[in-house]
Amino acid sequence: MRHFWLLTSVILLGLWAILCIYGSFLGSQSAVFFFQSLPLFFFWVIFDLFLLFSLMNTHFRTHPFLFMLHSGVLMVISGGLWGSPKAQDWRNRFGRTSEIVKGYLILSEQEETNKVYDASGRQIGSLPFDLYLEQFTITYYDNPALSILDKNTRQNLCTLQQIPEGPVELEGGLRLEVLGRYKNLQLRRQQGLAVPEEGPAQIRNPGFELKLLWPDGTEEYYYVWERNGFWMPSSNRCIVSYSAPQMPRQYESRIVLRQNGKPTVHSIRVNHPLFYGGYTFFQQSWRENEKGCYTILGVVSNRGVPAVLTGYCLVMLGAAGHFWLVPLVKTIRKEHRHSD
Amino acid sequence: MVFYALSAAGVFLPALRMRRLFWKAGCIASAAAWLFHWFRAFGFPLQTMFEIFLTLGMLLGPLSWFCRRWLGMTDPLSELAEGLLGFCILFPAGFVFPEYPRPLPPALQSPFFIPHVGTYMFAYILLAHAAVQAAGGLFAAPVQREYRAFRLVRLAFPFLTMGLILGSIWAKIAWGDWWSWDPKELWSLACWLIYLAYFHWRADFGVRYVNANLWMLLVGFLAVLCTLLLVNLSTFFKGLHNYAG
Repeated sequence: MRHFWLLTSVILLGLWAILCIYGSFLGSQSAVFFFQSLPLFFFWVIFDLFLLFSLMNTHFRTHPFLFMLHSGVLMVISGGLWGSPKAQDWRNRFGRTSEIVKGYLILSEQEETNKVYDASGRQIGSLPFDLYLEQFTITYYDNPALSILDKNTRQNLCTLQQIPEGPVELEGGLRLEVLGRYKNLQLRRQQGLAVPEEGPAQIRNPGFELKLLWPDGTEEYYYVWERNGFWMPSSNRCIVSYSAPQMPRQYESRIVLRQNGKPTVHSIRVNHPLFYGGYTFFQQSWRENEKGCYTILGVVSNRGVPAVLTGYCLVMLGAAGHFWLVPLVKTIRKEHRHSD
Repeated sequence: MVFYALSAAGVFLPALRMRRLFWKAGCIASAAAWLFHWFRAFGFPLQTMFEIFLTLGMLLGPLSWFCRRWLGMTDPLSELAEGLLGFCILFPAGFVFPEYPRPLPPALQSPFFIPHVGTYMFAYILLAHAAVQAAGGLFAAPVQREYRAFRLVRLAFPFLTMGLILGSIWAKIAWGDWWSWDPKELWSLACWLIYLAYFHWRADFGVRYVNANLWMLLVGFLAVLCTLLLVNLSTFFKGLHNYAG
């Protein structure tokens, strides 16, 4: 019987691994649809049921950490299924509820809303409370636009607030020239040299090709990207980095929640979500229009979260116990026996 | 890198009797390079591929020492693996990836960043050692080497699990989803599942089909390489983790 359980586990795990590898070739967007499709939903249910029945195996009575590990995986998958859009869709359909699984709130400053939209901009429901955006702020890295450092001494040779339009004479007889401006700068290797070129138009990754002319006549080439990156031949004497003024450090939405007429102020930042009313609100994105900036807050239901978190704890404790603690205790006991 | 290469060569060349010394020098040099870069970087050096490989190089020394001291891995193959892995890890850090530090984007400014990536680094080094043992087992002493590899994977697996779980919790906090079905996430889950399948297979058959065990370990490590390199460097996979490339 044990042979059946173990061999079926190998087959199911292998199948799941193959599905994962296949899904990685689909890209994130399509993979979401693939893994949340009905056949895959049934795969998770079958996997869950298999795990549930396998827990009745007598082997687990003598291996508590293994039991924790398996029951943890069971809880994670169950919690995930319970909180999944598919399960929520069925709950809404058969239970006549209208809970939101996942959506977005779009808010300009001094605006109040409880309307939730999906990714395509269609309204999918309303929250039982209102959110008022008091302020939306973006903080930036305060380093200058273009900085030229001596590679060896790390001494700052020059800082420019913008990429210059024409040649600029710098201190120490240096001369800076902008050789090229690209909407999507890509570097290609040709005979050991980097050759800049314009990448596909649908991707925006602006960058510049720069030339530093030294007083001794040496020319050095540098490539900098607006979005936080730079490249130069290793023989160059400087480090030229470029951080565009729009390089953000953090986004923050100051929200006033109004429920039963009682306002409370909360701050939502990237990695600092707000848990409220059975939902999690997180800083998803922002956009700009003619009125100014507006924030996009993600909102997800907290259904299944306790089960998943408990499952994670069990998996972690089970794995550490079974793979670290048990062998360690066995080794110590064996050594004691040998010493006796 | 040079010290590690010399240390690996020392296994084959009896003339190079300073193998251990070269290995120690490799450990010290990679730790010094890592500390120096950390001092210059905008945060803990785990953001770019260069930093990842530098950190792997730094961790290789202590973890190899641990394997030698506590898992008794003192055979010539293990000693060769230490040097070879050091060379293979530090070569891309030295010659492939740009070294310059970057400011952290908002999504990476999280307390989960270091433990999530750090635990994966621990796991990857141990799994690389296991893969060398498995590859060696295909040629000689398969049962003995499979057992060594099994002990290494047993040590690495909780780290792999921890990395997966911490990443999932971080994603929930940052983006509201436990799981985004991103290529990197899928490959890392595939790694976890392959090693899990290996444990189940081994629990069922032991070393009766030892070559199958060894191949499973090699396939697992191939998945690790895809997770670490292919997903970040290939333009084919577009996802949340592409910033690291």
